[in-house]
This record gives sequence, C-alpha cells and structure tokens, in this order.
Amino acid sequence: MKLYKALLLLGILSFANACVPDFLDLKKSKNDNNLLLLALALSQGSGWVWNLPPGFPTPTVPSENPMSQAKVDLGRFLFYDKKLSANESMSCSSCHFQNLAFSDGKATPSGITSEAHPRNAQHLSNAAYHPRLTWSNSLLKTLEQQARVPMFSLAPPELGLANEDYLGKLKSDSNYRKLFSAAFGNGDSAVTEQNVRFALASFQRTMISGYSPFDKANNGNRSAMSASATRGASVFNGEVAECFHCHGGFNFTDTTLHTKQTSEEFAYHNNGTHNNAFYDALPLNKQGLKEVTLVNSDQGKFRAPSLRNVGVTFPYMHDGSIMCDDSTNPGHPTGVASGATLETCARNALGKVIDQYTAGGAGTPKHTSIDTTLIRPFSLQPSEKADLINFLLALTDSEFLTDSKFSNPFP
Amino acid sequence: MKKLLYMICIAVLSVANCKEKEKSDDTTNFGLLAIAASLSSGITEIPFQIVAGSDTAPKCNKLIQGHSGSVMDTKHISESMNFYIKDARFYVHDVKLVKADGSTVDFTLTSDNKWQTSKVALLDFEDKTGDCTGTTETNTSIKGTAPAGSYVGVQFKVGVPFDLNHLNSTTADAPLNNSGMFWAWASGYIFMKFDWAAKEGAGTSNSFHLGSVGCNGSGTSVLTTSCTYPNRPTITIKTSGSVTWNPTANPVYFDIKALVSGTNSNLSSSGKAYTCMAGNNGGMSGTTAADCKILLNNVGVNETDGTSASVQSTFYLKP
Repeated sequence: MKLYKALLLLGILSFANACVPDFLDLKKSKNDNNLLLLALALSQGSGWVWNLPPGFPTPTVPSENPMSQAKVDLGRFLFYDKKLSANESMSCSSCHFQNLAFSDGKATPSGITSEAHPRNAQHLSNAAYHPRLTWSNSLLKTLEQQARVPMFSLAPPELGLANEDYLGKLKSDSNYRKLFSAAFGNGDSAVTEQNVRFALASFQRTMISGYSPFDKANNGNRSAMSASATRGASVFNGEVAECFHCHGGFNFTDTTLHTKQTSEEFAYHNNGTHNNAFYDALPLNKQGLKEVTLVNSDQGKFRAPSLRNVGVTFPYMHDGSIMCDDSTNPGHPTGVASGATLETCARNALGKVIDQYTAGGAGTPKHTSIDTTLIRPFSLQPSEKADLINFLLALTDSEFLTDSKFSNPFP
Repeated sequence: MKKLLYMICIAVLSVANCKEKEKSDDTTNFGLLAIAASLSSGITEIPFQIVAGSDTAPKCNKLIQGHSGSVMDTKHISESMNFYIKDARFYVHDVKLVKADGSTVDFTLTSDNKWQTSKVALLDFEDKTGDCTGTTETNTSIKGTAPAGSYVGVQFKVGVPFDLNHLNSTTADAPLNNSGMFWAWASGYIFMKFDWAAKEGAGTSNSFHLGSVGCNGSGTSVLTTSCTYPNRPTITIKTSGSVTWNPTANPVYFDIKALVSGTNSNLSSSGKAYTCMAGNNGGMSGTTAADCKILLNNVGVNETDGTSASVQSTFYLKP
C-alpha cells in the first residue's frame, strides 16, 4: 500500500515535472516538489528527525526497525544495563565509554569470563553509516544483527547471555515495562530478544559525531582548525601519504552507506601491521577477514575504521598493538598516568601509526596480501608528520564525548 | 487411544458383518483397509536417545566416565577423560525412512510451533541443570508422517537447510528463534552444539559447534549466497541384517562418547581444551585443525570440504 502510494506520488511528480508550462515560476514549482517529497518521506517514516550536523547525509535504517524516540530511549537504558550480561557484571558500556567515543582504551577487552577478546573495542561514532560492522566480519550488515555478537557470542563470551533469563529480569522491572510498551506496544510480549536488539541499534544510530574542529572549519569557520592542522589535511588528502584512499569521505572510512548512495561501499585492507609469519602463528579468530571467509588471501585484512575521534580511540589497530610509550594508559578507566594526558598519548601513538605507514608496513618480509598500491614506503618531513597529527586530533568532537543524550541514564 | 480406535474398528466391522453380508462389497473393504492402515504401521514419531557408550542415561550434572577399567566400551576415549555435559542440542532435516533395497520414503515433519517446523526439527538433551545453561525443556523425538511399510532404518541431515540458515532470523519461527542456537558471528545457526566440561586439574571447558563456515554474502544482498564448508552431514543408519526397524522400540542413539572419541580434554593427563567452532580450517584458542577434524569426522563431516563423509560413528540405532 505504501509502495503504491509512493509510486502514485512519484508518478504525479514526474507528470508535473514533464508538464510544467514555461510561464510558471520554476522556483515555486521546485519548492512544491520539495514539499511533496518531504510529505512522502514523513508518510513513510515515523516522523523521526535526525538533527544531523551540516553536510551529513541521512543514515539508512532497516525497514523492519524504523527510528523512534521511544526505541532510542529504551536502547540507551539497555546499553548501560548490566542485566544484559549473564552474571550482571557488564553491559555494552563496559567496553564502550562515551568519553573515549565509545572505545575503551584497552588493547583488547575481556568479557564476563575474563577471557580476552581477539580484537580491539571499536569506537561507535557514526556507526549508523557502516554497511559492515566490526573489524572483519563481512556477514554483519546491520547494527541489529551485530548486537547478537556481544550478547550471545561464545568464543569468547562477551556479555555471555546463554539463554533468555535476561528477558525475565527485564520483564520484572517496572521501568522497562514502561519503556518497552512505549517503544514496541503493550505488555510483556514486547520484551523480546529481537526488540532488545532493535532498541540497541536505534540508540546507536543516534551516536552521530560531526562537530569537530575539522567540521567547523569545513563549514566556513576557518579559525576552528589551526594552520598546522589545515596543512595536515593536505597531507592526509595528498598523493604522498594517501590516507584518504581508505579513510576518505565525510566519515573517514571507505566503508559507508547512507540514503544518497545507490549502493553500499565496503572494503577490507591488509595495511601491513603484521607479516604472514605473525598471523600464521595466531588462532584463526585473530587473522582478520580470513576467519569468516576462510580464504587465505583474506588473512590480515580488516575494515578501515572511521577516523572520527581518533584522538581518543587509542590503542590503535585491530589488535590495539600501537599504543603510546606511557603504557599506563591515560585513557584507561582504572587510572590516569602521572603527567600524561589523552592528547600526549594520542600524539605519541598516532606518530607511531604514521611511522608504520611511511615504512610501508611493519615486519620483514611484508605480508603477501598487503595492499601494495597504497601500502608502500614514502617519506614525510617532520613538520608534515606534526601537521598530520594535528589534523587527526582536529577530528575529535568534544560535544559528542560529553553529550548527555548518550550518557548513562541510570542514577 | 489406539486401543479405543481399534475397538471401534472391530465394532464397525462386526456391525457391517451382521447387517448386509452380501453387500459387503469393495467399497466397504477399501474403507476398512484405510482405517486399518492409519491405525497400524504408519510411522509418526522417531525417538532419539542420548547415550554415552554403555551409559544409556547420561544427562547434565552427571559425571560421564572415561574407561574405568571394568567397563569396556566400543567407543574409545581417553582412559582418564571424565566429563560433564554442558550443552547437547542439534537440528535435523530431510528425514527419510530407508527400505531394505536402499530406497527411501520421506518422513514429513509436522510443525508444532515449538520444536519443529515442517522443514527442520530441534533435538534438545540439556535441561539447564549443573553446568548446562540452555533451556529447562528437552525434546527427544521428532514427529511427522510416513506411510506404513517395511523399513530397515532412517536417514537425516544434521543442521538447518541452506535456504533457512542465512535469513535475517529476527523474524524466524520456533525452533529457529532460539538465541542459544544462533551463531551470530557466522550469521547462521549452530547445527549441532555439544559442549562439555572436564574437571580434573585446572579443568577445561570444551565446545564442538557445527555450522556452515566460509560463507559470503554478495553485493547488497543481506543473504549469504554460498558457503565453502556446508558441514551438513547426511546420517544413514540401519538395523543389522535388514531386520524391520521399529523406531519406538529401537530409537536413534546419539552417542556423545563416540562424538568425542579420540579427544582428551583432561588437563591432568596431557589433555587440552577443545574449542571447535566448525573447525575445518583450524580452531580457536589453541585448538588445531587436526583436533577439530576428529570431532568433524566422528559426526560424519569430511573436514577438507565440509561435505558428508561416508562414515560416521556418533549415531546408531538401538540394537
């Protein structure tokens, strides 16, 4: 029915466009068209308003889970609730801290059994735009699907939900009865595994970060970014460093999907962080995309992460192997190293990342699956390296790190 | 119930006989034949029973013993490997009854909106006691229909059919909506989940999860289009000597000792922890491809390509 209406409207629009007499005010008719399109969009959605940063495209949303404020509100509680782990010791927020753009400052986190996860906890800024989730799983295409991994994964367990006991806990909580009813309809029947995931996905889709100094400069306020950072942008986008090939676009990654794209874009790269011998010695779940596809040439391939808020998402790389020299990580929740700040650690660690790329990857010989057209030695002047670091630090959106919309709702 | 129906049948017969003997024509005979057929030998249920070698009642929270010296099982596991069940569930589909000449007849599953759809059934031998963490309810038989006939065995595939395995299962019906049996990372179902705990020494926690791996989605499709390793073994088991098989008298044995035969998860006797998630191309957490090969082969999977092997040792019919 909706499709029929949409087609009808489109038909009318086309007809209108084709038959606008020359003497009509073209501007006016365009505005009318826009109004019509707006009405169409509203009739198809739930009236959700994104409030996107300037220039940001609208995220795609799976048709089975349209956005609503009630789902977002519910998702925020669930994200921070330890009832979502088998022994009530952890929640999603246990490995995703808002002040670190929802990364956790550790090389690799551990779930409720203390068994280390094979990969680094990713930041969640702008996850709504990723058509492939996690570091290296080409099968996980929506946040709704991805939520199952931390909830039910067994190797290793993260939240360790082996059965549906957690739903019973949610049902017996009067706050959740209200929240689930508002989001999904009345009654205990709304408290389902699917709806938990749908609410978590809806909340995460609102985690949009686009007010960094870079964004401000990009939107006309040139003084928002330092001269050094502005020069760094040229290094980033230049044909020497070529960072932009994998970290391009508004979200600084080549894996994106939004409503203005006609097809999804995703890629996995071997950036030369480790060589063949290193990966060969690791269990399969630490070998990148190969774990999922079982194709040898996919060894060491990972999705290029968005560099949004990269200044607070160290340790870097899929295994968190690049960290600042001050190993008492200042971003670690258990303590702040004396004298160190997030920025000094980020500067130091980002410098190491740049050094790895200028060397054309780490280790000798290089990995056979390395992306040789992009990962090859090049040289940067020390001043260019400093400029590049300043540019990367200008991607930190401090509003995102402190916005109360994303904070822990529990008292 | 059957007895009652039988008595009614007799009564009908008697009445028919009393009344118009000469009119007892073909029509009546056909009708009676149909009633008789529906009452007697049509197969409506195939029970499965979990066993551990000679132990015919293994369950959660009960020690499953390795060889104790006096017990000589045909299924050999390490002499010292005692273990507890943590999980024991698997899906079956494409169930057929096997005739003496090797031909098969479909056993059509009937949906009960809980344990089976018309295409796939879940067998569940864990009851959430002890180390088991799944569901309190168990399901130890599959229900369906097959015509009467002389059968010598059964054939079934372990797992979920391809066309149901990679859907976005957010809206799947029971038994495909069981979160414990969905393999989030592989975006498909766990066909067979057998987890066990060994308590000697520091103890080990072990997993054998069978499912399709090496799967690729293509383009913008949410669906997976192919998997390098399907890992969906076809199990064919028959009575010995072509004796007619009676499923309720001779249930399908699921022998967990045979499933783990060849492994040793006892740390105090040079064993190791097994983590075999599909396992065709190497396991996880220190488990090697060779370790997982043992388990794959025991359940009838050829580890090199995920096809069904010609032999399996996990399932057999109660002798």
